[in-house]
Amino acid sequence: MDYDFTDSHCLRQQLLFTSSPLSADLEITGFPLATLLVSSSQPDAALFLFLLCVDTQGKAHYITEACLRVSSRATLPPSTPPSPSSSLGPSVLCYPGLPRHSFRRADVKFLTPDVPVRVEIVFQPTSYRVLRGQSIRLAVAGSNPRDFLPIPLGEGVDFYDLTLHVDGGKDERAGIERRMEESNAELGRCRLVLPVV
Amino acid sequence: MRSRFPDPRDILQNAARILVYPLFLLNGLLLGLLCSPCVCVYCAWKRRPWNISSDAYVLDERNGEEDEPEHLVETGNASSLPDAPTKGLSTPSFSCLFPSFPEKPSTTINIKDVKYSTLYLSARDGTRLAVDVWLPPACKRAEGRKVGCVLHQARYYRSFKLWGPGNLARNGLPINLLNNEYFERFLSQGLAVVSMDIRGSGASFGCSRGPWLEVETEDAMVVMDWILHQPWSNGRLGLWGISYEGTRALLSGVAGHRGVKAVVPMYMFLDVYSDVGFIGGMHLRGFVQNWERITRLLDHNKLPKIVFPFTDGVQPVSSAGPATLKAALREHRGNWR
Repeated sequence: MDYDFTDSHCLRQQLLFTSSPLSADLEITGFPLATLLVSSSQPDAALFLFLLCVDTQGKAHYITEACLRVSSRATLPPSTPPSPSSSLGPSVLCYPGLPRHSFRRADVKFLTPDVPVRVEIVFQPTSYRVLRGQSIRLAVAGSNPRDFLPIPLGEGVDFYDLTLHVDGGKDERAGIERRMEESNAELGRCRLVLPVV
Repeated sequence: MRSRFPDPRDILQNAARILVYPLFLLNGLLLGLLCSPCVCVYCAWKRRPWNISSDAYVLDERNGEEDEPEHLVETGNASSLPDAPTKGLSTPSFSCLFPSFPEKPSTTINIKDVKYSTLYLSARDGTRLAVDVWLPPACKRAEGRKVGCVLHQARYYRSFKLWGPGNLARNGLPINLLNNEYFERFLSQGLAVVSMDIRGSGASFGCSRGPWLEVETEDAMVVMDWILHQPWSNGRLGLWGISYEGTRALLSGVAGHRGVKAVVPMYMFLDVYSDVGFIGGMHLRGFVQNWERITRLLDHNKLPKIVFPFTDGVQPVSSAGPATLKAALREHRGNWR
């Protein structure tokens, strides 16, 4: 399948973070994990992440993807028994070392507008070799209307501003910067962890 | 008063109408002849080198099933594994003009050597389930030959009935469009294949109130018991399926039937909520809606011909007659209610 993200049709508005060209081949095998600091102008937000490989001609190729509704960001502690909603009853969905979202109604935490929160997102598993000279790219989008029902945001609200605090919120407006500073230690920084073989 | 002879203008008009059809036909032929080389060249040029060959995977799965490993033919080609996607374009290949999912395994079987039959089996509650039985050439040659069997629980038809050119190509036998290459592979390696329509789908009776019901596992147990009592069965079963059918295979596999030796659930869902319905907590509406539309068309045997031109709906159980299929389809009206 050829996913062309150089001129994306369904996800026009996305933030792109591209690494410098790799000095050696890199095999990504397993579940990539992204930790992001995000804030929204509304009580909720959607995150669609794509991991891409950019070749020497500048063309991007799909590696894997992930998505998360930010209000469902609560993860289960590692020792929690598997969810009863699983089709297999006692489920085997316990990947060691990876956060697992509970998706329970009781765990839903809506956002305070413009206050950043920490979100952990596990990508779909993959196995992919990025060659020397190619770059790794993370694309972040806030909606994917072709495949997903837009998240409900309340009466008359049909868009929201999604802010990604890449470097601890340093380049933000004054008010947000202050609030960020208070919670900086807890929130940490944005990062992408790749399972490298 | 009408004249005895038709108006010459009418004659001309009618003649023109009659002539226009062969003319259209010729035009169509010409257009096709002109276009097809262009399409060929374009497709060949578009073909990229990293298309995954399914051969390697199929071989791996076969290793899991334990019947007659000496029949395994080493066809997996290491160089056909997905390559780095930036190598540029491969040498043109016209195989791209044929559907490539799943890619054709290199072991083929002559369909005339296969023994096919279809019948209804009664589930525990009396619901009649349509079942296809495909026996490998070994069973056709020698009457008492005992073989292992792959059971497939079909949500998208155990097999399609064919007509015209399709019928000629298949020697009058029906075809399972999603799994045909795999079925042929199993058969060529000496395994029997039994494919059943899940209740509420295909030519089976009953209705399906939702996906992956417990009763579908019970139905599978009945069919597995039946298989083990057949004279051609060696008592060993494997379960196979893709997507819904793969999840179904796993659920039936873990039910603990004594005959089950292997389960190959392809592209299956462990957690229906987070794997397909609400990925990341968001409703995957596009896929779910399309799935529902297609499944509804299949359940009521109303798949438009244009989708698969040479098919003619679900394969009826030949001994039961067309009225029986209609009765089965009537019961499907209760699906999802």
